Amino acid sequence: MDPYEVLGVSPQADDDTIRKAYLELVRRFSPDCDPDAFKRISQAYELVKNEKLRLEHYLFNRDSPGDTPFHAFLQRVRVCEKRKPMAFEQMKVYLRKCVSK
Amino acid sequence: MKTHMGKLKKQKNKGHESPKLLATALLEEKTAADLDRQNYGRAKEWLKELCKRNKELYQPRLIACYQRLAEQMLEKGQRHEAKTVFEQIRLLTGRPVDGRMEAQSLALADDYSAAAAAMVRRYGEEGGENLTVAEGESLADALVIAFEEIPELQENHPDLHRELQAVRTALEHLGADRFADAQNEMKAIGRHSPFAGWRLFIKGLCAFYAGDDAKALEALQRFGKDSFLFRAARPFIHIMNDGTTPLSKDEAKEPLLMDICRILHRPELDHILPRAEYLWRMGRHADSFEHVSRMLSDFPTNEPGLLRALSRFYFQALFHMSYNQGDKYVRDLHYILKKRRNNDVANLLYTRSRNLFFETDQGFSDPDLLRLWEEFLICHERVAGESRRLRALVYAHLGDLFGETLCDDDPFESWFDRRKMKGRTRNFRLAEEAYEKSLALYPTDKEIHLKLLALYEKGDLSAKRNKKLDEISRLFPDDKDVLAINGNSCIERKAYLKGIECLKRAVALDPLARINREALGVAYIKASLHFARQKKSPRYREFMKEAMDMGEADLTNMTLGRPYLLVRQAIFEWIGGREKEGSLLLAEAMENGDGDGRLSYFAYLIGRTYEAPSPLISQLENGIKKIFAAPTPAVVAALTEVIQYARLIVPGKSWLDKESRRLNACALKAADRPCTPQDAEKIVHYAFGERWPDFELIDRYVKKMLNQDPKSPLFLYFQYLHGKRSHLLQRPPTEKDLQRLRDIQALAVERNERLLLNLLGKEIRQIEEFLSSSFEDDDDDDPDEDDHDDDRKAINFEKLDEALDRIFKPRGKSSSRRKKKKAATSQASLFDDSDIPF
Repeated sequence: MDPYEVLGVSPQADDDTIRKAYLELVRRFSPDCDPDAFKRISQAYELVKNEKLRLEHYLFNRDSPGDTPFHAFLQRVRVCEKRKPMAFEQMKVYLRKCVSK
Repeated sequence: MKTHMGKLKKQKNKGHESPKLLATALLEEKTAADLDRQNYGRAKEWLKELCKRNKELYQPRLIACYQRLAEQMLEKGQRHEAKTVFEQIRLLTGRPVDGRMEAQSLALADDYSAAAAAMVRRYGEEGGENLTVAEGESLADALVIAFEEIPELQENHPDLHRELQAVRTALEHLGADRFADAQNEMKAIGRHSPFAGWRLFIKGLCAFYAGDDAKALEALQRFGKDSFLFRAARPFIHIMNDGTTPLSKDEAKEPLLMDICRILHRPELDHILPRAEYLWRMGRHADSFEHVSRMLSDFPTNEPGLLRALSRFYFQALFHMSYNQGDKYVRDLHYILKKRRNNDVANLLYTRSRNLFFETDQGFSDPDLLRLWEEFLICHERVAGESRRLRALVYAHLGDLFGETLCDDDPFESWFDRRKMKGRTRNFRLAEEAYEKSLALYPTDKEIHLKLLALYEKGDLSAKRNKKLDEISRLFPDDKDVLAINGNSCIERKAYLKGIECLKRAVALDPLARINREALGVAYIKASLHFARQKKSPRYREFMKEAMDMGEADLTNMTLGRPYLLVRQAIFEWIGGREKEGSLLLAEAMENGDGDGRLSYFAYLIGRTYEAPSPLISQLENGIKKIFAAPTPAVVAALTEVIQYARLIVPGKSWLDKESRRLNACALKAADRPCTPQDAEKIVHYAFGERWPDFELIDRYVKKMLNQDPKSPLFLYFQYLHGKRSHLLQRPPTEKDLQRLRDIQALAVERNERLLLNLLGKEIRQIEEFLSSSFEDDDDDDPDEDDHDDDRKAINFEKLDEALDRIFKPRGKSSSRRKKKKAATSQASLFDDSDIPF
């Protein structure tokens, strides 16, 4: 997973911004309440916590965000975006569409 | 024209008799035949005529035929035609024959209100209690998706109306992020209500949006496969399963993916990603990339957001493909990007990935690799401006690449000369140049200085090494790593005082760093031995006192353990010509605990290593002869640890080989006596680590342990290793080996043997990779493999520009560098100095 996406910062962010974002996330997702999220956040921080690591990550990382394009899309949405419900009208259209499936 | 049409009409009717002209018996016969053939369309024509002749007799049969025809049409998806047939039935009977089917037809024709009304009518006629569960669900579905008031419902069935209102209100709450309210509304719906499925659906969606996937999945996975709610819940389940929900054989994936895009509020992607996914899964990776880049103008990008994730995917995916797939993908990407000129970001991302991919390619020359990365630096500068730090890191990376250690691929090497095997540097000159360029760009990077130092060490360039070490010590005077390296280097050069000083400072800076403590212990021992040989007793006593002060009380660490230090000091006294003091110290050391003979054996081996006077060696040998006379496996296990330690201190001594043989014979003698698994493990482990493993010894102890515990995963694993290694030339692993290891892994899981599990996991992965790569190599021979991509096949690679010719030149002629790669050790071994052992 892209460490910047996990931490919710821009790839151009500096050490301070990244550390602030990390501490904020760690406060929200403590190891007790969400160990998986905590692990993900800590791993992401370790990858980009200083300039050298950021550049090394940019230059040499080989991680893929998914196995297929759609998987990459789902992974990104899962980690970086809060699920937002469909509005009532959208839901209406969606359910009616399901009739003809 | 008219004549022509007339002819056509005649031709069309030719061979079809008019029903009016046929006798009733014949009509009946034809009706029966067509009904048998399920040709309801024709059958209804005969029945219509029969109806005209005898309505009372034939009308019920005509209605039944219409009904079957409607069913057939619905099955074929002819929903508008089915609706007309239902109209016919209603005209004939004055009421719908099957409300559910009619409703389905109406809903399919987007007439949701009429569909709901039809269901309500049927509900009224049949009565709620006579409906099956499926019929009840269909009624509820029709009512909900109508999203309109059904007057008959409110008047005739107030309970159903109330539940319907609850579902609608809950859906409104859900859409407005009010999940608790939505769930509260659902409390009005009973478990046996026709709306029970909707209650579950809304509960599942509330959990989904609240991020509780386990709860959401539990609710949404409970719908029957033929139900409407199953279809509605499908995309949500797919999202939660990360796109891994299995689809039925004839089910198209694209509509599902389109729904997911909409559910995740990405309607702009609903015609892009499903197609890209399809192409990717078909193996048309570059086509998938091209599709996305054609449809999305901002793709690829380095800017944060979803498109960056997709860009990363397309440029990183090649690292997770087989070599041949990745190679083809890189080439195809090159052509696509060449067509789309002036896309610097795409070129930058591509160049980086290409370079990383080709780094592992055995066919690339080192100057080519250097040029590829310099090309990347130019691309990067064009997009993001100059960055000295980034340039320095690229050159450091090249230094690492060219400085890697290679070893020759001689199959007998590991058997005949394993310990003396010394790797050679891949390209010393380019590695040195790259590190120097990196340091010129960023002179304060300690890590790169240390890497260059290690390179000189590996190349045995002591002058350059010492000069570099001085430079590093000047640049980083208070760095613990530099101090430790400097200290060890001084000890090697026999500059003991300076070395010990550096190591003391390194330990003071990081008291928890065990490696530096051990290095300091080794330095004290080496210095003491040196001064003992010069008969300078105050000096070596002083050093040994300092070593004892930092020593450890127990018997586990043979470098820092105080009993072992005491033994060493005793030997130094002997070497220094003070036999009496030496004997006293030795007796004191033995008093502290030599239950299993390890201290005596240690004293004997260390005495011989330090070349102590012969009387002492004879005295020590007499002591251990008693131990060897009646050995137990526990004693043998302790002695194996000592001899393994001695091998680390003085590798390659022939007297130690002789000593090993004596110990092996002793271990065999003890094999019949009771033995704990821990002791057997130590003995087998020792035997495997020997230059010439004693397979009889391994076999005896493994069998003994498996007799005691046939399901011991550790000894089954040893048995597997024994089977593999007892052949001179190791055979390649097979599926049978893999299965055997998996069985052992299952046993290790049962007993929670974590260390063994790690080991097994690694070995299983290696065999799986080996076996899959063998299969892939077989697959590569398939001439039909790339049939989908004929247009690319036509491209002549030879006609590319010179640079590309070099990049994409044919592979396979050079030596297999990847296979030869050997992990370089970053830390100089503390045990390598055979001149002054410790």
